[in-house]
Amino acid sequence: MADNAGMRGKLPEGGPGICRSVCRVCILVLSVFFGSVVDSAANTTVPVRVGLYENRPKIYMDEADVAAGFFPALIDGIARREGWDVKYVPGSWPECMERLERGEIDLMPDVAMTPERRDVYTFSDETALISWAVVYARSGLNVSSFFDLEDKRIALLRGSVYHTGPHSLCSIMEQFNIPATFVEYDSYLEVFQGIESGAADAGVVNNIFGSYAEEKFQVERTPIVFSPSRLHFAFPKDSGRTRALKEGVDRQLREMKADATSEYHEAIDTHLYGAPQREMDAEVDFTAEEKAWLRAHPDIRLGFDPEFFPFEFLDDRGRFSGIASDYVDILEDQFGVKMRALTGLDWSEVMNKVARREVDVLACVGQSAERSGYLLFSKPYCAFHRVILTRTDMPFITGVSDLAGMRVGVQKSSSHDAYLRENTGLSFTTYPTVKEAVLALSGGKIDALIGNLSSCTFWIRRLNLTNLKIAAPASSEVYTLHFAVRRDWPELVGIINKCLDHISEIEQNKIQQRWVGLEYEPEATRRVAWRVAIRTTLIAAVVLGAAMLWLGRLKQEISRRKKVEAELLYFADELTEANVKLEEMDRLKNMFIASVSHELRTPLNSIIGFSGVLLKGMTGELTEKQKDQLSRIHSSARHLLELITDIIDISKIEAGAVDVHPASFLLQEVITECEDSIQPQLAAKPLSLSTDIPENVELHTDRKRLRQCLLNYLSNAVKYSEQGDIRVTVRRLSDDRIRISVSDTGIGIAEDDIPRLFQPFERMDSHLRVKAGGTGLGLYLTRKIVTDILQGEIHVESVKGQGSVFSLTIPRNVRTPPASGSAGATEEEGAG
Amino acid sequence: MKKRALIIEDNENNMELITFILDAYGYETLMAVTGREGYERAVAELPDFVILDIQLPDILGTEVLQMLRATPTTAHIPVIAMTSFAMAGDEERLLAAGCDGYIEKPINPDNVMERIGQIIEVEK
Repeated sequence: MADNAGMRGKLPEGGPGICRSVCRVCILVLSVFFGSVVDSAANTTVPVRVGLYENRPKIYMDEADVAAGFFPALIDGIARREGWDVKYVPGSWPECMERLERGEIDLMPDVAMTPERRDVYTFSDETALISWAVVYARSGLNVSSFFDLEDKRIALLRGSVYHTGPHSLCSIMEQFNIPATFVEYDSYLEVFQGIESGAADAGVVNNIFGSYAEEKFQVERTPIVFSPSRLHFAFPKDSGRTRALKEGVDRQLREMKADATSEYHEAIDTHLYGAPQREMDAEVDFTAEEKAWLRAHPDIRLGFDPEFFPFEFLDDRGRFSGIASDYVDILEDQFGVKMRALTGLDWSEVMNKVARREVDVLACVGQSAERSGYLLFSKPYCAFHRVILTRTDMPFITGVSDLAGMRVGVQKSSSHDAYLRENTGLSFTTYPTVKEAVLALSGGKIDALIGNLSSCTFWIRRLNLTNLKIAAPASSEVYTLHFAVRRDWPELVGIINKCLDHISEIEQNKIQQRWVGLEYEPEATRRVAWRVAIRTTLIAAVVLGAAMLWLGRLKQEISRRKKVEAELLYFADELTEANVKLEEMDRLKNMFIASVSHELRTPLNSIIGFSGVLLKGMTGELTEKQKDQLSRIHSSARHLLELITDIIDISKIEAGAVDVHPASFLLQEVITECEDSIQPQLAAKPLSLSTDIPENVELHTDRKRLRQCLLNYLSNAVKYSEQGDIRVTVRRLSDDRIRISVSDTGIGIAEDDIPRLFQPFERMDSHLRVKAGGTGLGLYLTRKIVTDILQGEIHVESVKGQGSVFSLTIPRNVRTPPASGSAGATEEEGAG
Repeated sequence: MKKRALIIEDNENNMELITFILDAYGYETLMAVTGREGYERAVAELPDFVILDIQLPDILGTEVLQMLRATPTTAHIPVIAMTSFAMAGDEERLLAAGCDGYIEKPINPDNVMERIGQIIEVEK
């Protein structure tokens, strides 16, 4: 094969890649000389050729053309231990698999073992990873089951287990009798690109790639997962080297898996987790003083809120439960710090007892200045959002500052209580529990409630209250929760902090996952989910069969999705409601402008009419000065009238109150009319006007509106050209589309200014503005008319100093919209 | 004999303007400020043509038009509608309702008589 050259042969001269690869080569060379056991069959003199393809983050070629990812790291480890020299041979997945079959490469990582493939390849006994297929869809496609994929175009990796074989999507779809089109790609990256570009509606990738790349693409993860598979190393069946290589791989994988500090685990942490993990250290070095203090305080009384779900609460069997309780368990089991949870107290009683030092520690509280007076706080270990809740019938509020004069409620002695007292001047009512506060809000006793998003959401759902909404965040901050210890026991704070430091990230994620799901730290959730997913997979690889895992994962995924979906729906409803209101307000605003402007025209008509009569000398001769001044009044009034007329037009179009009045006519006629109208201005300058129009272009569209747009283009062309030729060109783009262009030899427009052209009141070049007159609304209005009424688009090309071409492309036959209720507006317009 | 024009218009300023111009061009002018009054004057005085504002305080200009058309003695009298910057569709709508033509506000003294002349001429 022509591209059988190893990776390193392709390296560009110099650059960081060289250094890295030189290092690797050095390591390899060293291992040749000093390697303890050198297997003769896999001897270093003949490099082990490894297939390299694009499947981030498992295996890929980095920017410096060096093999990177989980598998290369793992293979480097094996090579070091076995004394191999490794050469990566890049190619697409199908290419690699063909080369492996022909013995052109010696090893492929990351191959799912299937009976069909076992006929062709030899597989390692050890599994490297377990992975499964996840279906992603274009955003907004709403795919929740295989049936939603009916008649869709689905992107697949050519030759993957998800593409061919009994566990492939094709075969599943066939079993369910669901028709679909399959589009084949050479890498998962292309699968995502295919979905994003619209070439496919949905696509299948493995879970590891999906988690790694989903945020970088406009794709949506669906709940569909299938085909869990064990990923092995594969070797050519008939190669003389296979046996030795396979034994080497199996031997090293077994050893590495058993050793938590091996290259295998390091590769997982680095490439699949995103960052190396700190290992959990179960031994905490308590100082002699700390140990003595703990011995002297055998009974630490722990207070908690029985209703602070999910942070801490009393469960159905009357036991202390929640995130805080998991931490307390760890403190006790792993670090020997024993605490006695006091049950049977409500939160106010707990807080009273703390003040009297009848409770020593609080498990989970927010900080406040007041509490700092008698409590010491540990490091934070979880977080919450503080929000404002109202009833759905309440007016729109944006924050705490909008609550003045409203009846506000809060849970007594909560951090929200302190927050309101310390940060606002609001007066408010307190309730012993969140539940009572939520019920008071629902029942109309208060108008707003400040609370913790999680607890409030929990009670809203539990009590099935449909008239409440989360109206606004109380602040953008995320609040932290801590252990709090009576002030005279600083030793205990130190001890708790030490323990918290020794709880591993994995452990913390587990607790978070268990109680919180994914809703509290939106920015961190994906990473957490991903890590948990992979960790789960690895444990499961040892303990459980693939089927069990698949089912479990599926269930977990479905319930997670349901939960997230319910929340999304809730917020989507809120947003939709707000949007509908905004749209209605916008429409009213536009109608208001339209009708006010109409009233403005009546007096203007008198000013224009009478000044016209006077100027004409119908009331007697005028002096030159009188004539001059009167014509200023007259032309200013005309300008004002044009402005008002444009505003009315724009407002009505934006309010959707303009009907399309389609009629059949010849384009030539309209252009001739426009030429006639523009004649006076044209004649005042050394300008010529020519046309290039095919014969008999019949249109069925709004004639007056088209004329308005063309006239606007033409009058701009005349306004901004001092000499030369103005040309009207008409082209048929297709049977149903024509383009009309007006080109001039005027001042032109700088490229940077073009986007501003169609904004209201934007006119280029201020000295011309004075000279050219006009309303500054012309192009904005033209664009509105062309897009909203004529159902077309506008274009502009221009070279500064040379001239411009303004075009509009419209359908020859305008689609008639369904009858609208805006006839009244037209009626009013005809009046005057 | 002077031609007689009936102007039906509720806005005093507009009325003054249009009657002034018509006077200046040698027309006799009759005035009405509501639709009902306009119809009654038309029936009583049988003017040579009617200039009709479309927005009137009591009834719609188009209704006045229909009433004029439905009365045998006034059915043939040319009616010129007066509209503010006629919008797309208005022209067709007014002509379909039976107007003989329309003039736009603001009235342009340079060409308004020419326009009125054309409309009446066609009707003859």
